[in-house]
Amino acid sequence: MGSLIVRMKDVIKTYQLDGVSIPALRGLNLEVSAGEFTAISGPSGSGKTTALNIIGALDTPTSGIVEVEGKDLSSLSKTELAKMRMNRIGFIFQAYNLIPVLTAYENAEFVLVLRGMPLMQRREKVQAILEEVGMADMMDRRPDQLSGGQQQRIAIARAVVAEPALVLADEPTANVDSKTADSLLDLMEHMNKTHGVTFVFSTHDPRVMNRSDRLLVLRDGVITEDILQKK
Amino acid sequence: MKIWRMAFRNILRMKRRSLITTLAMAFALGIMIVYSCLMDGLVHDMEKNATMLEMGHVQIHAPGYLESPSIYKRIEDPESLVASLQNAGFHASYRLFASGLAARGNASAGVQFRGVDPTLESDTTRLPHHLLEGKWLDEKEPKNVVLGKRLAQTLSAKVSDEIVVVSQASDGSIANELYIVAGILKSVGEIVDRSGLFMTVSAFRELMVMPEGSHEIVIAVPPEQELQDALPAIKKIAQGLDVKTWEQLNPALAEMINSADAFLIPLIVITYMAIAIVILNAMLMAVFERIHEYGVMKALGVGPFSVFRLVLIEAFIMTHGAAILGLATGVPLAFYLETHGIDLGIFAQGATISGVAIDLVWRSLVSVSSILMPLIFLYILVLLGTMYPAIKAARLKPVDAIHHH
Repeated sequence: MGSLIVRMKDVIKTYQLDGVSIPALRGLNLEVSAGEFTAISGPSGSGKTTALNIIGALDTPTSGIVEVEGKDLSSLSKTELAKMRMNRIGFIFQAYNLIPVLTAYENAEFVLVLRGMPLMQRREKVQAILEEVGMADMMDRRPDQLSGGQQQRIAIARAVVAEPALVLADEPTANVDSKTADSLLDLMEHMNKTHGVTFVFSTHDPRVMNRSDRLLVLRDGVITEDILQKK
Repeated sequence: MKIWRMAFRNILRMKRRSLITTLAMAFALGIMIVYSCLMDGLVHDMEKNATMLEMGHVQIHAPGYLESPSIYKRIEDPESLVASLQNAGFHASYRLFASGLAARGNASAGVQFRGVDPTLESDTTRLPHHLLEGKWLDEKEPKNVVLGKRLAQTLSAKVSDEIVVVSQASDGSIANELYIVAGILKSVGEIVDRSGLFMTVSAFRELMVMPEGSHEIVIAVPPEQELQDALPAIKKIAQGLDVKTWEQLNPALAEMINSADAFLIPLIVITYMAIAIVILNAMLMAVFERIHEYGVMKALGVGPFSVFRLVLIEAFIMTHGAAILGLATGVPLAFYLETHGIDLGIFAQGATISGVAIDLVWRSLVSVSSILMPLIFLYILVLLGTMYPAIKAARLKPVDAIHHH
């Protein structure tokens, strides 16, 4: 296993809703190393999405330590957190979340533009990744002209094109049919094996759980099982 | 730049709303440009009428005459003073005043006799060309007089009618004479309209038994010269006499002309406030509709400032469109009104502001400042109107925004 990418220590997250405290994470301890293909499963409300949001610096914990590549997220400003998301983390969402006014090509290119990568280099990378996800011939289409599976392929391309240290995928196969889900998993597995991209999924989908290297089971905000799987 | 492209496409997403917002801004700008040019035109006309019609830029009187006018407070040898002023490059004319009565048939009215040199007056003011009907005075026709507009109405006098005047001459004798109305003036100003009876200097001298002197010398400064620069030279020539600029002679009017911008700015601000609310509404709607999208962008690493910039750029692209449209309609219309004007003659026969006639054809005056000021104000108010939605978008928490539906 490679170096440590994610470390969560005693992470507690409590939401306040109309004056009522709702605990989402109750002292989560988790370590993810480079190159892992890890799935976090658990029933609804177990805290899977909250855990991913906190690792991805989209949300902050109530208490506890969260480190990404050795950096304590609580020590970073909002702008530094935005920079870290841009440079080190890729996101794949259940609802794809492509930017509707941009074409497939521009969506895949988006993070590279934010990074200020030169045009020629950008074009080369985007074209290569679109070839890899099988979307090169649809690069000029807007999201509303693509199927759910095609949109998720673009979302995967967007997440990995900038070669992040970590890709966080929140139920990536939840909105697609089983055939498409299999092909998306093939694709992410391919990215993991060939590019060494670290994936952390939250999922209900048995297919994702079966194909992951490591399966974490989350219940009531704590990890109850940590299973290394041989395929 | 990607952000510009995104902003442009976001605008095109909601074509109708963007179009209405842009058209509202363009309409406000066009109207404000036209209004600003019309106001400038009005002020310019007032200043021109105030000075060039009758008052001149500078007037010279005998000391104390203005405070307490009297036929005996005279400028000695006005002819040589006028000649000196002309030699110094100014246009100048001298005038004589006296009061009396004029009658025609059963109608009579108090009048102010105004003795003028027809040629010098023609060279100095626009009065001789400001005739409603008839013709101006001629030195060769000393029995001709020209009447103010309302005086002619009071006396029911028309061109070629005879009128009788009576007064007390400077030697104490009764002055009375029969004259022929040669012309009637358009509206000049309150006093001239109501009581002005113009006659030649020689006729005045004969009627009032006043062989020499004058009560007023009116001076027009050439256009290329600033009044304040010309004043010392005039004062030097008219030593010992009372020299006053038109601004000192009619301070209310001068104040009004000087503060014309102060009247214009609140009107622009009020009009644009309505537009700023339209912008604010449109941009707030755009931001609320896209909260989820901003969340995604932030998740991908777009910083708060870039989101702020995106909202601002969207508003400014629309403002640029509105500016082009507003200028393309407002400026030609302002130029059209500079040539053709708006004819107010159907509403009134004549109008005065602060005792000075204004033209019944209201013409605009197109200048860089009267176009730039509404344009700059539009941009400032759009910036203010967009600030709140832009800050709101910039401050969204990615996790809340991304799960917002």
